[in-house]
Amino acid sequence: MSVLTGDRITERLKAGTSGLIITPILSPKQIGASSVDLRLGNQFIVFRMHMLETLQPFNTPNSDLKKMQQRQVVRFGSPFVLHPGMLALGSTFEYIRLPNDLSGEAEGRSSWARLGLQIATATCVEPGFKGVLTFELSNVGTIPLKLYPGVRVAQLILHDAEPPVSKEYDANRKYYCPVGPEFSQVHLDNDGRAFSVLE
Amino acid sequence: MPSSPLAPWSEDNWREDILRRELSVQATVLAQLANKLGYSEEFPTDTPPLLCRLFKETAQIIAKYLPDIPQDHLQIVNTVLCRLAEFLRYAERSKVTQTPWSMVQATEAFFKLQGGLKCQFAIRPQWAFNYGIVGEFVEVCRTNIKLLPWIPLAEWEQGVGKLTDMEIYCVSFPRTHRLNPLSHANWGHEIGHIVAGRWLAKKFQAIWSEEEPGIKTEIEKDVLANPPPVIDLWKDVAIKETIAAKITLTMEVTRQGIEELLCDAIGVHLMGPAALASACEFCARYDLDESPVMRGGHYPPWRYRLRLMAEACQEDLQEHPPKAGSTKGYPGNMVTPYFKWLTQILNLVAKNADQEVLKKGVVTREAYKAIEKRWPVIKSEVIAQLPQLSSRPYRLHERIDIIEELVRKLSADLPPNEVGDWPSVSPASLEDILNAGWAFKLIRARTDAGWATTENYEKLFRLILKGIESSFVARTFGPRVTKVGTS
Repeated sequence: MSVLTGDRITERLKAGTSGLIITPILSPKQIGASSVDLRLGNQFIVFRMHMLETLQPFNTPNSDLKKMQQRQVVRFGSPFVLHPGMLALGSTFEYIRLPNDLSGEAEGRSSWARLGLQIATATCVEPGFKGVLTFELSNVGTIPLKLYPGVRVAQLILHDAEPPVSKEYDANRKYYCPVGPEFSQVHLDNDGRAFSVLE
Repeated sequence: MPSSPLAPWSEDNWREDILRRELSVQATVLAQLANKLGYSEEFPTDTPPLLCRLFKETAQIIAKYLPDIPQDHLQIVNTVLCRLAEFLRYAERSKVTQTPWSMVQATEAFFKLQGGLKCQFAIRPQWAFNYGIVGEFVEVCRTNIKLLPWIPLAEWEQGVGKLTDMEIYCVSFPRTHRLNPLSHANWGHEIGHIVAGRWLAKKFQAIWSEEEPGIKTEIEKDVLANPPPVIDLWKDVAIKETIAAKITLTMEVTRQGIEELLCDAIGVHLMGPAALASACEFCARYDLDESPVMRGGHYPPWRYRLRLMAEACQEDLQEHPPKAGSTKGYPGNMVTPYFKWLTQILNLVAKNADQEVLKKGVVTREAYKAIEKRWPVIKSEVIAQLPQLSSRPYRLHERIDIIEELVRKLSADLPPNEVGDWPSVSPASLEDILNAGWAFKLIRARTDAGWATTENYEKLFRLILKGIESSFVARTFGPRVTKVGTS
């Protein structure tokens, strides 16, 4: 499984609607030697901790999960402040579509990581994925971080998926064509429910 | 001045005692509420906080000068404060959670640029199934302060600062359609009220002065032929009163008719067939041939409005052969279902039931005779007031390649935010995105009877909203990014 270099990424982007889509790319310089820089979108999901005493994902009704999460929108030009120890869901500004022969990994940019920002713990992007990528933003530093929508916080590293997946990434998937961060749908993991019965 | 506790009881003193105390609290609380609301920072643009500041400053200065108010003005203050409190709902409902926030900034920018309007717009939902525009709020507040002569206007102007040079409107949409950007093509009509209203303020009086004598003659003939059923003693008075009332009503119907038709014309001019399509879906809920005198708003019959909108879109409702050097004509494969659906409007407007309704009564007959006589001139004068950028109407058939490209993106579950192949891409325009959205919706709705599900609509709407937002951000911030570069 080889990593796509900048030249190959450019080539795949030029293939148009049928190829790799990352849109909009505000500057060609976002494409690096072996990755594409991704910008922060302007929607966030924050957690309302006072709404639930504890979270048992498989036994908690979906409505309770939604009750503890609140969507926030920040205007482009205004900051979202991420405090130390805080977890918030964010997303890429770019909408991404991977063809069936590419998979990806989203990683934080080192410049931001050095300030304490972590953007993801679940980084795998499957072949055929369409939508924005959700970030699990957390500030592991000690100083609050002002995050402006549009800043480059992550990078997408692309790999060849061999052989290409034959099954289309379709609407039955948990996260389909999202345009902002998505609430967790862990409650749809049926096997998790099977284990949680043992409690 | 406040009455002394020792003053003898009287109804006036009783009222003053209550109002002077309570209005002061009311004005102060109102100012605090407006202030708090303005700082909540959950608005998609700066306009709602500006509205809050306007209301805060107005309530604050009223509170400051309340002790000096003459007793007989206290009820006027009550009226002004109650209106201000009602206005606050426009700002309160403009929060991101209540609006299609991802298209609000883009739409405001579009109307400022394409409509040539130096105005600010707050956008809010209303529970009634309707689109509307209210304002202008700075002038409304100024007028209210002028009603209270014991408040120095100059001090109010100093308090509101730069707001005195602004114009702030609030545009509304049906709450149930919050995330339906295709329906919001109706905003073109609402913004038209500003342009049309300004033109009518300057020109309508002259038009009416010219038309009135002829209309009066016709109304007199009509009333004399069908006199009001009263006893002979009062007949002359009743006839005169009926004639006067009908002349006034005719003037209102004429003015409102011109205004609504101009707004439709501006909507179609700016948005093209998307405006016609959204008007069509909106009016399908109502009687197309309702007389303007049947409702308070004196709106023209929908069929009449659709006819004029279809005429304005005429070029897009007929086929065009391929241009030189191209093999593709209009409508082409992808736009054909949209084109066919739009051309069905021609069947609707070929019926003249609306014109029969208008001819039935002297008021509507004379009003619409006057409108029709002047319509081409009126329309071209008003359209000429739009900025150079919008001097040409939006023509779908001239944009066919772009629309097809955007429809292809929607078909591939991609947002229709840009055109061209990377890296030679440019942000798609709001009008193109909306027309492509309509084209896609009609392809799906007409080729797959089961497509019109909530889930499919929701996906389409969110891709369009993402497209509008991404294109706005690319247009606004893209050049800045290019200028500063990346490292």
